[in-house]
Amino acid sequence: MAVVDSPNYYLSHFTNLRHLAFANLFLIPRGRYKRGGEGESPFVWVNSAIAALRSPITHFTIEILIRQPAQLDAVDWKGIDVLFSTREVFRSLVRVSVVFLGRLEGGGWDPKSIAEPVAVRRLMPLTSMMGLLTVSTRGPKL
Amino acid sequence: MTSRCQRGIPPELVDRIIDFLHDQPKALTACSLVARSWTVTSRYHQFSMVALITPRCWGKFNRLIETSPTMLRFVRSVIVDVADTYSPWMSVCASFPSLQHITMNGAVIPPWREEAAAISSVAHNITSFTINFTIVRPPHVWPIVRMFPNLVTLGYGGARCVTTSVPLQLSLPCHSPPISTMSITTTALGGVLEVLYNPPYPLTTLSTLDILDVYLGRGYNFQALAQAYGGQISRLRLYVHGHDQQCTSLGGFQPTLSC
Repeated sequence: MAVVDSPNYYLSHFTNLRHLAFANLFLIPRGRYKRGGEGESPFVWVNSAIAALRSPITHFTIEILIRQPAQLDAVDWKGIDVLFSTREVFRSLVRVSVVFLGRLEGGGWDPKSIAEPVAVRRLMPLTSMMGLLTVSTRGPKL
Repeated sequence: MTSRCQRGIPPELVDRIIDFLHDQPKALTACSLVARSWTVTSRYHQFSMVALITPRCWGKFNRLIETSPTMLRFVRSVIVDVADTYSPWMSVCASFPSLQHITMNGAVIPPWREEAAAISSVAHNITSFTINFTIVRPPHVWPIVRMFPNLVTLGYGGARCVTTSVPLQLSLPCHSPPISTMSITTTALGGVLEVLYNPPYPLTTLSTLDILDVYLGRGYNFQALAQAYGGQISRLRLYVHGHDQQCTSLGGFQPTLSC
């Protein structure tokens, strides 16, 4: 639900929007936030922002910061599923991009080889996204 | 002397092969020493971006152009850091005939008023201008931006805006640049908006603005930007403040951290 004095509400002013990207989306591990509230998942407020949109989106990108491989399990994959399956503005999608920002904490893992296959495996069951999804990583080279 | 390799491989293919090494400086250095004909293509990539961010960089750069002034024509992007001392970076930029992108870090605008005229010789080439980690005095920005008549991309990254009532007076021709991409990845969005709406030389509107990359953090004023340009923006990238800073404020949602 869009709040009138919030940026979500002002997204409704973007009446000609075709490409939308959420960048620097920090992963919020489960349990960090109080249960039962909106803070369960960052995609709750991503969803809220999208609710304010008034134009069909053709290209949608989410950039997720992953610091450790274990954090992949905490990504709200179901939230992404719901996001794409319920929103009318996504009916015209031609490209969905999931970008992992591979900043490393201590190094020692390759986000490209670890994060990308996981994302593809978890998101590909969405038949509506077949052929639309690209998964990539961006960050410092190992 | 024409080598056997060059007789066998067309130069277009050699160029194509070297192009694949565009992000590998050591390989480009090696290639530039193979043959004269390889030098130009290698240097095209090797010196495409020059970062002058420390006094040591400035020293090395000055020595380099003394021995090889021809490399100046390969520079298309320059990053300058003028944090501590006055640096004649505008004069330096003017010496790059192919310069297209300028990124300026760590300066109080304008420490280089007298030098502004120097850059006019290459001003038409500049398509991208970014200010990072800079104390920006909003009335001083637009005269600088408007020196670049073909500016397409304007960026503010980590800039702090300081209000001042004294406009910068430059006796230079000013144009309305066809800015289509604007990136504002700074918490001081309110100050940037002051740049947009209250310049000393009013720019009626950024009618060509199409792509917006904007930071969403604390204390921003998204409303004015959305209302002014929302109808013409086709690409929007929302740069979200992460929970590492204990703030994920998008909309009315304010998550509460549990201990």
